[in-house]
Amino acid sequence: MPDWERYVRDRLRIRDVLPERQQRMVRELASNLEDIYGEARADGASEQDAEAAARRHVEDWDQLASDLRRADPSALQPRLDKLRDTLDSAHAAARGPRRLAAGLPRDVLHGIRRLRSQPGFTSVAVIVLALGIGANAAMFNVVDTFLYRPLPYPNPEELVRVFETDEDERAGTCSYPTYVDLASLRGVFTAAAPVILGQSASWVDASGSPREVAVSFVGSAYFPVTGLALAMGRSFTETEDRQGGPAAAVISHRLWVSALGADPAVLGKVARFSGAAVTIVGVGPRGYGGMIPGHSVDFWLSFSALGPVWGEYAGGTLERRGDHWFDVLGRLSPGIGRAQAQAGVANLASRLAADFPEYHRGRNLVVYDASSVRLKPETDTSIRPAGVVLMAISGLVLLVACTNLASLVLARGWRRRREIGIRQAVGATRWDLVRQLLVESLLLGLAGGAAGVLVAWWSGRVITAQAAALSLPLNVTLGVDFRVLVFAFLLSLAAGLAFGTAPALRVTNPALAASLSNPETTVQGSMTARRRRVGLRGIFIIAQVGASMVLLVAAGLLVRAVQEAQGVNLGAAAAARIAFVQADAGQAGYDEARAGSLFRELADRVRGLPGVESVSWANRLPVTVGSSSTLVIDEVKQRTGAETVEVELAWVGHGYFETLRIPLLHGRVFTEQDEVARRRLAVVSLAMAERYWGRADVVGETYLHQGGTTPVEIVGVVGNVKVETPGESPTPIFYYPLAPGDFGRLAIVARGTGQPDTLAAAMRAVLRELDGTVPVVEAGTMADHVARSLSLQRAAAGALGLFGALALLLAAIGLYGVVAATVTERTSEVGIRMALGAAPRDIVAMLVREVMLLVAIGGAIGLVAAALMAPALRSLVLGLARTDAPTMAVVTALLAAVALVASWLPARRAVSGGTLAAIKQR
Amino acid sequence: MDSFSSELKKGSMEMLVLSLLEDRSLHGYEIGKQIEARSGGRLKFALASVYPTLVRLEARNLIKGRWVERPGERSRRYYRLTPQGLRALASRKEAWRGYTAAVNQVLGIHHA
Repeated sequence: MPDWERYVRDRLRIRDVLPERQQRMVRELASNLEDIYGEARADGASEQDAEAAARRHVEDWDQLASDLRRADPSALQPRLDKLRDTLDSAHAAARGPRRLAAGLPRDVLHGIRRLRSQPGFTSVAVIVLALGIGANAAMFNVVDTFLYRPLPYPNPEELVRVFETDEDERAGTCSYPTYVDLASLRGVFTAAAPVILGQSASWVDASGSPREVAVSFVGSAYFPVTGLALAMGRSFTETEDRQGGPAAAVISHRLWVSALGADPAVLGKVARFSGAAVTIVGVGPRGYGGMIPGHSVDFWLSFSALGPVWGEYAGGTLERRGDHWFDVLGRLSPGIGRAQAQAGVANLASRLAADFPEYHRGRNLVVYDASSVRLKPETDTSIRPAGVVLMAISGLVLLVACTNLASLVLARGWRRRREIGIRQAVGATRWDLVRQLLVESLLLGLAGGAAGVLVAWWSGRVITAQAAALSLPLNVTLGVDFRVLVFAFLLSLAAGLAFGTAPALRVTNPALAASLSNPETTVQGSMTARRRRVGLRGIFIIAQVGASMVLLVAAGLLVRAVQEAQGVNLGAAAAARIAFVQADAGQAGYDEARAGSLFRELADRVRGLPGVESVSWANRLPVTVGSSSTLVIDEVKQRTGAETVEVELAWVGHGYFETLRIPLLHGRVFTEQDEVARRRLAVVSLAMAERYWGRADVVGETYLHQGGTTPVEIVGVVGNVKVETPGESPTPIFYYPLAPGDFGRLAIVARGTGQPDTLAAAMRAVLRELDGTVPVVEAGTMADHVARSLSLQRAAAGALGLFGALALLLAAIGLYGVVAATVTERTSEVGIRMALGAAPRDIVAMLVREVMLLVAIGGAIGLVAAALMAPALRSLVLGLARTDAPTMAVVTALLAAVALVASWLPARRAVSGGTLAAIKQR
Repeated sequence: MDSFSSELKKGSMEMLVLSLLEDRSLHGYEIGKQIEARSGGRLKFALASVYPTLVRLEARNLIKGRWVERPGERSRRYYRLTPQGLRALASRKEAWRGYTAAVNQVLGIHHA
């Protein structure tokens, strides 16, 4: 007996029906054919006759497939067809506003069908839009997360931030005593909480390896003030607000899940931070990352943990009026508005100025709505323009994408002239046609937007993952939320309108209807039509080239800035041939004496490595964010009246300045004997001498540490280095002599004659030999270290470069398309020119010349726009050149070259190939 | 005597299927055979026209099919009328009677 199931399966081809439905049909038909065959056999028919009888039941399999497709409920197309028929007749019957209501769904269906029938065009358009909208949604996500997203607290309107302004009226943090005074203001706050934001600590995770985590020190009132409930455990107690009290931690929900596997028995366990034991008493609110939007705190620590975690720096932090560490988050009492609260705290500020003039004179206390503050009011003002710049940049990419699509849609529109002409002839109004074309564009926009959201979601994940690698001071968390979806949706509609409107209006222009009805347009007609067409297309080309130019110039400027910053004189002999290993012996449980001998041994062995010229150590290298100290300098007091100054500080071993080639300008540098001198001798940078004493040679001058009584004597003045960032202006810093055991974490630096990365590897190997359990914090060459500090600029340059390249690619595709279309439409003209004796080369030159003129206009506009935009870009990246002739020249040349190729290729292809043949045919 | 036009047959196909399923469940080929038997061999339907009708009627929830396995036989899909199918059949019979009566009247055919 034949295998009927196979027989049916081989013949039945049903498009558009769900596979399981199709399977069922095959099975059922086979079962029936088998019955027929079986019955015939039972009636005495031969095998062949029985088989033939069964086969006769289905003779036209294609007809059966099409019948089944129409009958099956899972087939989409027949239902769409039916729906469209219904809508068509409803539309035809309707008049006035109802006609619109009836027409819209019909247009949507027509549009879907049209787009489905042109998968090539549709997928190109969707990809272009996905990139354009995706880039914007991703940027919006970043900007919104950091700058605009509402705070996650209940009754956020009651929450305020209180800042203390400095002499320049910049809002900054308060001292702890000031916070205590604020909190005790009667009737203003129901509660207020002090917070030390944006700190990091080295946490020993479950596997025993140290990792950098983001921490925030908060008072016991913090979680009650936020109004957020902890996921587990408790918040801090007042005993834990005091130094000397039991050190307590609340772990973030995120870290609890990611690092501790949501351990239900976490409460009461001990977390280790740089040797300090802190008890975990709670798990933070789910999804809450702390006060800075976009930044995720890993641990909230009690003030009692300050001493253990910060060590010697922590002393007196809660007592001194001069230590401005604290942000204040307050919840206003019922019925109190911000203005009343402001009056209350201003009152306090004048009382403080009277009671403690040395700390509070000229300072004020300012209340801000918590929702208006992201980092600090001061910083916010400088970040907001950066947000605008970022959005503008991604907006340009979308502009290029939209103009590009507009050209494409326009070209398609011309190809549809016939269809449009017919529809106009049978009574469709221009409005009907425009609406139909616009609906198609909007559908494309929405499809592109949906894909764009995926792009944004993906880039959010990438940014979150990369942020750690960027060594940003922020623990960035980005997720696509409702606001991003709404943004992408609106952007999709806008994009659809943007690239659809002009082409829709143009191809339905009744003035062109005459030429549409006549397929054999005259040369005259084609020439006038062309002039108009190039007009609109020309604008598209100018816009694309201009926007690409702006993006490329911006990317070029950033690349230059990064290059220059890397080559910047660090005061450390351009960081050449210097390698270092920074290790944390404290982490491995070393006490002072053992750490001292470990680092001394390490330094000695490194000194013995081949080619090493000089070795030293420091607790902080150049181009590193580190600590500062509050100093009292008589000269400063006399000259400006300022009580104290805040100056950066590094502890360095003898031979440090020689090793890093930081020049000695006056006096002397440290000797080995100085290393016991601790805080009695100092070397200062030229910038420090000039800023606070007004001259370079300050050898023999003294200053005091705030609250200290022993004067520190300056023994030498050295050249400036880049203290925190490569782009900074000369920053004062002073140095103290350091013995290797003074800090558990130390960087050993060495200068050699060989390759610095080989030296760095050798240094690591030496440390591993001495003790493999001592964690290496950072190791490599000084050049690497500087490069890492530039990672943010690099990332920005990379992103802009990517946007620029994308824009250039789109512009090139656009140019190609336009030239190709122009050639096709101007077949007659080209033919006549050739008949009159023009060589193909002349024709190509003519076509390219026309396009390049547009490119030149666009490029010029782009250059002017880029020059205007450069200052805004400077707000994003420090040290960016205002304008840079070489960058502009390179970018212009690149753009011109790409444009030339993109227009020459299709012109040549058309003239040498198809067009010529077509002309000959005529 | 397979001389009725296919248009004519198609128009009444659904009603024929529904009426056959009124008192018993049948599978696809049986339905075709029953039509042939009841019409005294004058109406013949190939599987190719019966089967899409079944799919269509089931999609409209007028009939419901299920696979039935009998020992020693391959499984077959049997259809029966749903309550909606029953109602649809009643109203179609009604309409058919009215329609044929009207057509007959026009054509001047009178039943005895």
